[in-house]
Amino acid sequence: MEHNPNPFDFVPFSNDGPYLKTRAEFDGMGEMYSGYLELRIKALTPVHIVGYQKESGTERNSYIYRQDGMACIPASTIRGCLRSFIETISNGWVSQVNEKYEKDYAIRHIGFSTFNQYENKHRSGKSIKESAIYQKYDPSGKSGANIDLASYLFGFIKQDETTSNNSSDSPSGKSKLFFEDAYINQNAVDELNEECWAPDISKDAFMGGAKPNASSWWYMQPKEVWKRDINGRFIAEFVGEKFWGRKFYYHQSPNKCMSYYHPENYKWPYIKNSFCKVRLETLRPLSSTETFRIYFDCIPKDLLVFFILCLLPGQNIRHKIGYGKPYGFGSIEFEILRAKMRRKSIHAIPSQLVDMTAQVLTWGGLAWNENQIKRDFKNTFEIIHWESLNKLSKILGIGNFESMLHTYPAFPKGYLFGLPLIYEEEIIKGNLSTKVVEIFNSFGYQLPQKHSIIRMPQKHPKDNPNRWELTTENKVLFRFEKENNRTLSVFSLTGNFATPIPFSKFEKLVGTKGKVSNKTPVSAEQAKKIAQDLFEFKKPIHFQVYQETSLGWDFIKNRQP
Amino acid sequence: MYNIAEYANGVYGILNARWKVICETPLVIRNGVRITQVKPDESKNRNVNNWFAWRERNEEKKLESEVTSLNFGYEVVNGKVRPYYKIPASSVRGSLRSWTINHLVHPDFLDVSMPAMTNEAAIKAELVGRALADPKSGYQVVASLFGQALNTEGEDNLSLAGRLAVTIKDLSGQVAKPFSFNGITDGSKEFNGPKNARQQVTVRNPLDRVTHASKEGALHQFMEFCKGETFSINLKIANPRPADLGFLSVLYREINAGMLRFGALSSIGRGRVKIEESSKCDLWLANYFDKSIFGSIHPNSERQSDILSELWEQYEIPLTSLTGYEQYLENELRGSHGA
Amino acid sequence: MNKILKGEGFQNRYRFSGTLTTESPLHIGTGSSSNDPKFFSQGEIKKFKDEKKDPPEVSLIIKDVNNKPIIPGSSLRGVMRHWLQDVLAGFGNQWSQIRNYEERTLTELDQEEQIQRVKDFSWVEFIFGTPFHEGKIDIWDAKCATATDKKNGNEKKFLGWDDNTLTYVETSVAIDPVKGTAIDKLLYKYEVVPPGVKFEVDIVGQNLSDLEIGLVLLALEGFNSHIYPIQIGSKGGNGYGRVKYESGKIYGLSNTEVKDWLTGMLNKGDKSNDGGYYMLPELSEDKKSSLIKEAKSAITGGLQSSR
Repeated sequence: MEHNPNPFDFVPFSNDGPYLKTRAEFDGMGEMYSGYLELRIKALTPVHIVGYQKESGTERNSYIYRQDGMACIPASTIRGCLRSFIETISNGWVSQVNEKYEKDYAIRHIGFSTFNQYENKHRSGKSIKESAIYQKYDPSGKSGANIDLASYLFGFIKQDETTSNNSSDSPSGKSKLFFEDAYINQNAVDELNEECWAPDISKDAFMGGAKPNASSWWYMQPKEVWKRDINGRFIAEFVGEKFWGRKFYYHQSPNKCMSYYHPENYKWPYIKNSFCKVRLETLRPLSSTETFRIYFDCIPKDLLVFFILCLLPGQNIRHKIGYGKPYGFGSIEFEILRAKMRRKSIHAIPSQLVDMTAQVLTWGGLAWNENQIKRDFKNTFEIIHWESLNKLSKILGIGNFESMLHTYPAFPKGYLFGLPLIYEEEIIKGNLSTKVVEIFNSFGYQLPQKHSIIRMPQKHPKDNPNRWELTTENKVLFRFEKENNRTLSVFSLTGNFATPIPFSKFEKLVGTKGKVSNKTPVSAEQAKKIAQDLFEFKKPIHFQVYQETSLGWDFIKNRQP
Repeated sequence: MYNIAEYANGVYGILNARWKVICETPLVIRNGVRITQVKPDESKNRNVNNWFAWRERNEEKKLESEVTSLNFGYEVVNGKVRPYYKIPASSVRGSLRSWTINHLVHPDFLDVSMPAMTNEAAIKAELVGRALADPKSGYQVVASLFGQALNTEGEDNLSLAGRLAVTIKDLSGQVAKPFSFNGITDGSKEFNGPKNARQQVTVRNPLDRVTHASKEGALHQFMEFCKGETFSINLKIANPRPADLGFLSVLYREINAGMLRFGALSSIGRGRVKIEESSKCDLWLANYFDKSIFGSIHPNSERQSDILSELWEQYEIPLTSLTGYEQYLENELRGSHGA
Repeated sequence: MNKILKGEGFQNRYRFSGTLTTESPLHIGTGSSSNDPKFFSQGEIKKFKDEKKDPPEVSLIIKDVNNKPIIPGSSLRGVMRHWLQDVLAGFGNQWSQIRNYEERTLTELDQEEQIQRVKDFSWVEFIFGTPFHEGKIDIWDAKCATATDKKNGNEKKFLGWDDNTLTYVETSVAIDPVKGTAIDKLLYKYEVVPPGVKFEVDIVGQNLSDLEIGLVLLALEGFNSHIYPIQIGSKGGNGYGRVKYESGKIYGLSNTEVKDWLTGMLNKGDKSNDGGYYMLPELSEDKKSSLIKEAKSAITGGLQSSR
């Protein structure tokens, strides 16, 4: 059975650490320009920024963010989108991260910290978990006078610096970029309707939500395999240490996505929590915001060129913004309508701003022509971390995005798909109609000619009484479970995202390589091999292996900036 | 040249600019006070029926969160105290000063503008002395207009009051204005705070770069004056010179171009304003003063009545003719004085 | 013009009454400060505790025995003198002159000679006094004449408002002009009187000529100038200390009227408010305007004659 690529992916951190310079070195990257750009944001898929949300039953209405009654994409959102883009392709610091993921019995049995070591206390003693990101990427100012490019452009305050230290070797400085809100005319707003929604699960965190864990290789690169004793039951645990990288979401069609997640199409399990439809009021695709401005103050020419390249990142790359990114919402592009600027003057009053629109658009047209950038803008070339840009282009590449479908791997063990409740009778009778056989086929599963269906005994009062097993020749093939009085979920015995792998299974499938003791370090290659060996049993073990075997990966991997 | 002994011969005139200002973007000016947002219940509803209380948050109450307030003061009207929002002149003056330092002072002398810590007074005085002595430092403009406080004593005391005084008026009176929160106008049914300005509450929720989850503890809310709110700025420059008119001219065009902003959060585009064309600029000059240094200026046909009329004459300077004076300021910066 | 000192034979006595109402916040500091917890919100106090910092000092304003703000007469005297000095300086030394009173040519004179020299001093010096003579006017401390209506009790709920002293605390932060960030160590807090608070002004003068009365009235109207207003206290550059002057009654008594005044007083049934400057004949509004006008024309006239 083939699977869709996960909706997000990571741009790895460089082993060499971030690209840092002193403020004075950045200052020296060309003549200083000040002025503003007038832009519009054009929606490529519906764009939603959460304003207020009203819940009723299992549905939620989410209105677009408004300021004084006017719909808008707030400046802080635009700023955040560009800052994370810039941090990535200039190989800069990681400026916004949660610091600690505490050990918590219920959700996270290995605690860790983003930039620091973390001490885990076990029954058997203590162990130190190394930081999840190289400390070199921590912006908290251990780099002396050096800062990354994003901090130079977006501002940086070094903690505990004496305020009167204003000499040029101080890394602190205010933002050189000023983003204004992008208002949206009511004509460009698609009101709430049944065709525009994002899935959520009611009364719980967002599905596929961000719960990074060190005991999987999903958010973290492989470090070790543990043989873990859970009350006498041994499982194989895949322990990671360093985050894969900076997260970005793929472009895709929200329509395909909505269809996939719609409960009536029975592809996604709404098992413990029922489906919640979040209707979205959006900026309509192919329409644009009102004109808004981005001001800049004293940015050296080569860095201004870099910033323009980030705004207009070529034919392939497009930005994503706002809510519902995992479901295809928020794909946008910036359009520069006007640029007015001036050069910094000394011993003279600042001159009037002059129109330089044509010039700016020419700079934008260089994306991402390595040779020309190298020839004309040496510093710009040096700043672009081409490897990161390449990786990012695979995630934010827009080409043919409407044919792509990215979905989260199902969470519960072995979930395959769902059947409408009307088939309950057939299951109870143990006699499946050709219609059901066809549904199995449509999801890529064959039902054996000879099979029998037996209701599973209810061992605990909490057990679902409506569970059946489909067996052939004494072998269990599928399991049915009636959920929420709405669906019959169909399970296989293979694992899914949250399925623990019994250690015996691990040893059997991984073979000699599986001879691991309590905590065995694994190399990147070994980890991949292990994930491949276990793939038929459980797919989402290793993030990269999962992605690289997904539908359409060939297409993704060939994307270029 | 700008002179340190600014008032030795009294005050011979005032340059009086009255700007009507309209906010092109929201404007945020704070005073460090936080008020409270109250959520009606624990539901997943976001921002629905929340209301704002003009008091400190009760930390024990889970449904209450902090909102950073706008700057306010109190006034007594007919024996009753009432709060009102205000744009402190110190904030506007500070923005003008910052702009002046960053654009007119030579980069070599930027350190001069830093407030001196008590233990650095002597170093600071030395720097100031050097900057004032160098005709090309551009610092004379800052010192003369914005003044300078130095903790030095004795004959070489360089402290002086600036010639520029700023007053802010209006925010359009004590008429209750709508209160906007996430598109719900008047989402503050019980708001007992100032109402003399259109205000809105803005939420920021930074995302973690690795997980795209909300960054813990980073969610915050603050109040702002809405786009379109108006107020007026009155700038008075004592003992004006032609270069001061040039200075006003540059401020005027820089403010209107958005290169000079007011208040906090300029990084998210707050504080861009426009000076309306109906704004006025007058020169009041004592009868004995030789007005010819300003070129051809004419007394106003309609004089404002003031206790100083008859002693001083009022000359209107049309906004359009201000640019002609920029050259005088330019000469000051180049260290070449006179016309 | 002939100048008569305060202590020379009794010519007349005037009392200028009126009110000053604050139009912007007013801060007349005492030079002392306090970090009493009452000046801070619960949130601030918690923050100081968490950061193990002392709360910042709040600059206090001058208050009277009843803990209400006052404007000291010396402050009023200072700002009025200064304003007249600034405005009149350019009209000639006879109006205003900056003089070094420690100069030997003055200090080495004997007292009699000094008194004669004083009569050559400018009008501003003559009215307000110098080290060699007492000025001709006394300015009393201006008492607060505002009481708030406490009927609805709302005042107590207002953040930071102190209804007993009629003050609140303002905060200003120094912003680093280059980095654009707040400078933590330079957080200023100061107590202010809000706009709308009324103070009673009383100025008393002796042996005033019409010109001198005109100059005092001119200075009082200086509070109401839109162009170059007199401001009181600190932070004037930021618009603080603006007040509106409303003239009350001006009483005057000349040496020729003393007898009538005394007779009137003695025949009056009610004996309250009898003392000192009360019960003096009043100056009409027309007379006030004409005195100011005459003073102004003398000032500009002097200009013409000196040219």
